[in-house]
Amino acid sequence: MAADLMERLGILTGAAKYDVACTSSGASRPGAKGSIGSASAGGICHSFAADGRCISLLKILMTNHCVYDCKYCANRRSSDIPRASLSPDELAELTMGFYRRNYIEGLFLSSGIEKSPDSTMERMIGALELLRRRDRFRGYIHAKAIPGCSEGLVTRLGLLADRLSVNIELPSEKSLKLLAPNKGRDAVIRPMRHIRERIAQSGSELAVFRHAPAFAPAGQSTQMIIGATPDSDFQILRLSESLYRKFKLKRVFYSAYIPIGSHAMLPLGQPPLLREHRLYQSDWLIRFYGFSASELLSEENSNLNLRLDPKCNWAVNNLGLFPIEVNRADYELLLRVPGIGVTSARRIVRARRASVLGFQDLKKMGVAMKRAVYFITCAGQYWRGIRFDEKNICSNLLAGLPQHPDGLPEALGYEQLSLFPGGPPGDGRLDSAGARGAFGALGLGLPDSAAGAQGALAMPGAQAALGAQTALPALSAPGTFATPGALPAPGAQAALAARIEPRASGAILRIAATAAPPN
Amino acid sequence: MEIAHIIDGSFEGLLTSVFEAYSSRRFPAGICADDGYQLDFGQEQVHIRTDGAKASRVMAGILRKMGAAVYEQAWTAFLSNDATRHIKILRYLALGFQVGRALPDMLAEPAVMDVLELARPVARECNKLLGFVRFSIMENGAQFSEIAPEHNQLPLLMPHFADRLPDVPFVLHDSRRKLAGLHGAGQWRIVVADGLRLPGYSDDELEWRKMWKRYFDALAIEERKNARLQMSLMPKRYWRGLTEMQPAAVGAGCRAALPPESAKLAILQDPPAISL
Ligand code: SF4
Repeated sequence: MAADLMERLGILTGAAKYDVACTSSGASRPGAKGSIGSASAGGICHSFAADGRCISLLKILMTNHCVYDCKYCANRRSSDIPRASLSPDELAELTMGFYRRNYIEGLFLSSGIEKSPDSTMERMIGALELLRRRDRFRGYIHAKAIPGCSEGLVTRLGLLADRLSVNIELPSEKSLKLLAPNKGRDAVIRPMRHIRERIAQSGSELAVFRHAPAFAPAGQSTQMIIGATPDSDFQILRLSESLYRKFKLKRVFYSAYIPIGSHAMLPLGQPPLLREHRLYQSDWLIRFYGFSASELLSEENSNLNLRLDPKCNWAVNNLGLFPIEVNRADYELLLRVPGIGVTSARRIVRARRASVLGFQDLKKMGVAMKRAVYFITCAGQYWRGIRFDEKNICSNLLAGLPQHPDGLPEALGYEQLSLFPGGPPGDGRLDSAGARGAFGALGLGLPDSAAGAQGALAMPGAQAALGAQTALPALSAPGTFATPGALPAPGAQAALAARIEPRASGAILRIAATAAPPN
Repeated sequence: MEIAHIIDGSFEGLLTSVFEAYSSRRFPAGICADDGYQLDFGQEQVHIRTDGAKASRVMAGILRKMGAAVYEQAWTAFLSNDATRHIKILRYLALGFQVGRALPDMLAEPAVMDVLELARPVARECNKLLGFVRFSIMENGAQFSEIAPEHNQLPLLMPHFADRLPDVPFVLHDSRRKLAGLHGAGQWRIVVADGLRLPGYSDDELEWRKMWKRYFDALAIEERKNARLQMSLMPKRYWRGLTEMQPAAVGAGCRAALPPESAKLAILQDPPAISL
């Protein structure tokens, strides 16, 4: 390790931290012998920074030298800050060192533009090639495509990375012209379109040739800065909506503008965190709850209500649709009730097949009753004492929501919303790699290597054999496991639990098919 | 007179208990494992001898009548540290043998909700630990990490890391349960580990911890500081294992500065010790 590596790591991390994307989701890839790493579809948070944001990736710039002069950016040419660069080799070493220790899920690589967009991209590609080819890294990689670079380079980048992003940064062309004079709308939109086309093409190739290399299998994302320009929430959400629908983006990230240095064209003061939070909530409603931007806002009413979350706000403005009967209402309608989320709506639909649901049942299913009671009936009954009028509901809803000292609603971290970014939140079943393994094993027969070995050992009744059979894995590496004698006996039974672990149920299922059921 | 089953604490033991309940037509009012469920005075004790063949028949029944999701749910609930888990799982499965595949939908049934509530915190903790495990690289190239989870997580964590680091020998030590997950040569298993003898850390291990801490500190945005949010997402009980949450002075190069587990483990008694 070079002596000043620590220093440069600090500088280049500090320079990358305003890019808020830090999810490692959307790609699912098992490990492979001879390689290191895997990707888990739901993403994994490895730590949480002092600002509460999830740390999942080594988020870093190759260099913070930049020939451009975007006004909102700390790395712009005209700003007076310490500069540093990393070589592709150093970057690969850092990534592997962090990854092996389970500090991170992978790498999020971006860069200032040192000479030209193309030469910057070449360096980034060089680093990723080292990681993927030399170090055989199978973990998650998110790479930024540099605005204005050539399409051939985007294609190469996309074959190495799981996710690509091009940041829009500002939601209108006017703002872009004003604050990012070197970029312009085209430099951003063109690579986004190219990425979209390549992803679509790769998808259809994969359908035909199973081993066609996947292009950015975790899709593309983008980021917008909030509050640096006068653009309204309605403008922002409409743009997001079309990015999701037309460009098939996986995520749009919103980043409350933090005054960096000062510039006459930019606002000073606190970052609009609550507004950012409301935008994430609305974005979530658009992606998973079937809302459209124009249901939430309009030209006349173009900014989100900061006091009430967008779903409550919508419901209060549409009281005519409520109350709904939870034992009958469609899933889509249930989703629109404040306090009922994807998980609880699914549970309701499942549970009401078996019995008529009352308020107590809803509570157990995870419905936030504080909000929901104003909008539902259970078997024709209102929650006791509910008065169904707008003013009353509104003030009750507001009173019921705990407020953070600085105006942020309690606990609801914006990043929390991104824990399941690849799809709607799960239905409460185990969502760990282990459990997914179980399904893999069931559907596809046992995977090769370790799992196969485990599966064989996992047959109940085979346990006596186990102790004898696994003289502990002998290793070729200098570290060798010494066998601690045979498997420990009765006191150790908890350990034996491992033997019927669900990963192995594929094997168990097969032998068990012939056995008789218990009575 | 009510009866209580005494089982050995394994999942197979629990499934054997289900089998015996059906074949004797006497359902226990409680199931006691070696880890703490208190017997009611006046319950007759029935000792269950774990039987692989019987367990496997029960398992077959679960998979065929109720599906893999139920099996998985029962298994996850079993990993909970709740002392009432065994009897709750038995009631859950008993209901399942009556209603079949409808079981997971019957959320208004206490037996179903009980097991869901057992399994949920296990899954939640597992999700946290998948990220919060911190490996150290030892001087012989093997990797070591210590955890002390609320629930029995090794059976869920081992397959994840074995898949992710297929060629890396590693040990995951659950110091609370005195269990160790061992991985090497494409296999893993879990053994009782009353004592672990560890080799020294690799030369640059401390450097790497410092790098990680530097990264961690540099990433936070001052204007957005939110210690409460951080704490709720990464509760304090995990901090001991998280190198980035140690004060900056730690790791200044001396051995004593390493997390306490090393000190404790390095001097553990001899057999049955596992050396890396
Ligand atoms: S091109 Fe990127 S790094 Fe350079 S000033 Fe603009 S935003 Fe900052």
